[in-house]
Amino acid sequence: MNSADISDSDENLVARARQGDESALTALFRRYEKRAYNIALRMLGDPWDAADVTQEAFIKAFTSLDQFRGEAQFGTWLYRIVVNATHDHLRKRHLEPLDREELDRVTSAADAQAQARLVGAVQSPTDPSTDGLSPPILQALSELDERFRLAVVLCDLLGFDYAEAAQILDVREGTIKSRIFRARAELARRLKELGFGPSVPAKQERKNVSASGQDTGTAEKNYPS
Amino acid sequence: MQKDAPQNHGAPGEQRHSETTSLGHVHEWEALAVDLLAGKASAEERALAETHLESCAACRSTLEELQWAASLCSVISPEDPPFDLAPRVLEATQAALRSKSIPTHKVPWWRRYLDPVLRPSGLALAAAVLTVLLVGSLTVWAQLNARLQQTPVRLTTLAAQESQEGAAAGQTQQPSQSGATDRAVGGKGDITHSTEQVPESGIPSTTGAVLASTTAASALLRLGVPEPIWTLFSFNGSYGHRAASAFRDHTGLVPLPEDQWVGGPTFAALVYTRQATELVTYLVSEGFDMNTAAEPIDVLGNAVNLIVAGYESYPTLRLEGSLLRVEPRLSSEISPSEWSFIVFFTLLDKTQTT
Repeated sequence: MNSADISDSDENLVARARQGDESALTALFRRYEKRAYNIALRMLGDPWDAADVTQEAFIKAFTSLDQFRGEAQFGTWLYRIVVNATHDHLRKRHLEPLDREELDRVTSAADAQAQARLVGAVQSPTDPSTDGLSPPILQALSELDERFRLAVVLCDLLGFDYAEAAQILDVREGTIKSRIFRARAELARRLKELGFGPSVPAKQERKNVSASGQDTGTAEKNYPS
Repeated sequence: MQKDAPQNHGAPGEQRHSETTSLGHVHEWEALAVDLLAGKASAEERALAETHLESCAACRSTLEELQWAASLCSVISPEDPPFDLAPRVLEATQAALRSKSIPTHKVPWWRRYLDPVLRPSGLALAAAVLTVLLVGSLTVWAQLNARLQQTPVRLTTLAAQESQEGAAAGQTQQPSQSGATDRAVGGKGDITHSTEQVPESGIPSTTGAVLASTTAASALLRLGVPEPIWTLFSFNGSYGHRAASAFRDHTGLVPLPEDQWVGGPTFAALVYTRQATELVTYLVSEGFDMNTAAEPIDVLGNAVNLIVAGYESYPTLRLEGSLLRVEPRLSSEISPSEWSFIVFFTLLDKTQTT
């Protein structure tokens, strides 16, 4: 990879990569590795699994460039492969629960603090700006429904805009926003259970929300008009 | 003014308020709420939302909490990938691309199936399978396969991969027959030999009585898929050299070099897919018991890729009227829609057991 590659367009890099141009492959990898890795990391929680899945996804993408038609952005196409690889890994993990038990045993992940390490907080144990909230946030995140977690990971953690997230997941933009709404509400509910809360309490109203937090989609009855 | 609201707010089932001038509770406008918090709602939408929020403390509280959750998420910094991820990915990719030769269409169609094996883990896997099979039995094979299915795939280093590639590249021997060899199809006594065109395999010639089996033909019906088909054969209950010799005599195929055997003498040929059942039925009628290896096809598929790597042509086995004909074909002449690739193998260590 040279300095020209860094500013070269995806389109050009992909065209060169199709011819086996190592420099172009390197440039594409460098351009997308961090976000790709972090999608896997925040979805899987485990850095080793995340690295494996990221690697698998990149190899699949790079050896299937002839299938990339340019209908989507290269990044969108790549991230979709990462997401699919992540799904596959989670499914496999679900089918092999013993592995998880073994992992928990090895890492002694009995309490929330230790469990949070499993969701990738190893390098940021305490963030002053959140009063050490990172572990519980990641813990709460790891407990979310996979679809909701994915929406929050893409948009709130990694900064994808809603349109791109919708393209990656092949759903409507409104669906992404709805999932983000519910995921955030669920995150807030779980964090409040752990004793955290917004800096400005909403007093009486908070109680109502808390009571309805379990199912935000059917919560209207909890709101007297 | 609702008519001007962007359409992309709507999630399935979400209230559109197209004919109202006020909003219900926030759970009825989730997408808009998210836009509102992101500062992406239009002026009209914002005014509508604010009208509701002014009179609904519960919804105000909900939005506060959503904002709080979003702000917490935003401070979780992305982490750096492992330092060795780049070399791992790029080396494995380059190896795969080199072997796949994707820029051209001159690659033999069966090389497509090299993809799995050309990943380092695949090579290691195939090598392991071959090694075990050479000294193992079907029991070991089944056990190994069961274990492999539980083993997470972790790609190894380029060094390991390249050493395997080197081994594959060393396979320059052409397995095709030097010329066409005809075999009459019919009674055993009708089979003719033209051994002057068949390289010596060192396998002693043998004959035996006919033992028919009907299991193989149906098992091979799925040949329409251009995957390597693994067929374990025996001849009149015998495995090993005895079976291999009979197989050579009947088909005119020569065994692959010994270092490519899978547990015993191994033959590989392309057959007309539409003739496969007929051909196997013929072999069965000649005393061969043929069983398709169903379960470990992926593992064996990796092994076969090692076997076929580097060849530019391959023997084809087909029926022409009453003749069983073996002839080499350039891979470029072979259409994957017409031909299937079959590996016939027998087992040395079962020679004495039956």
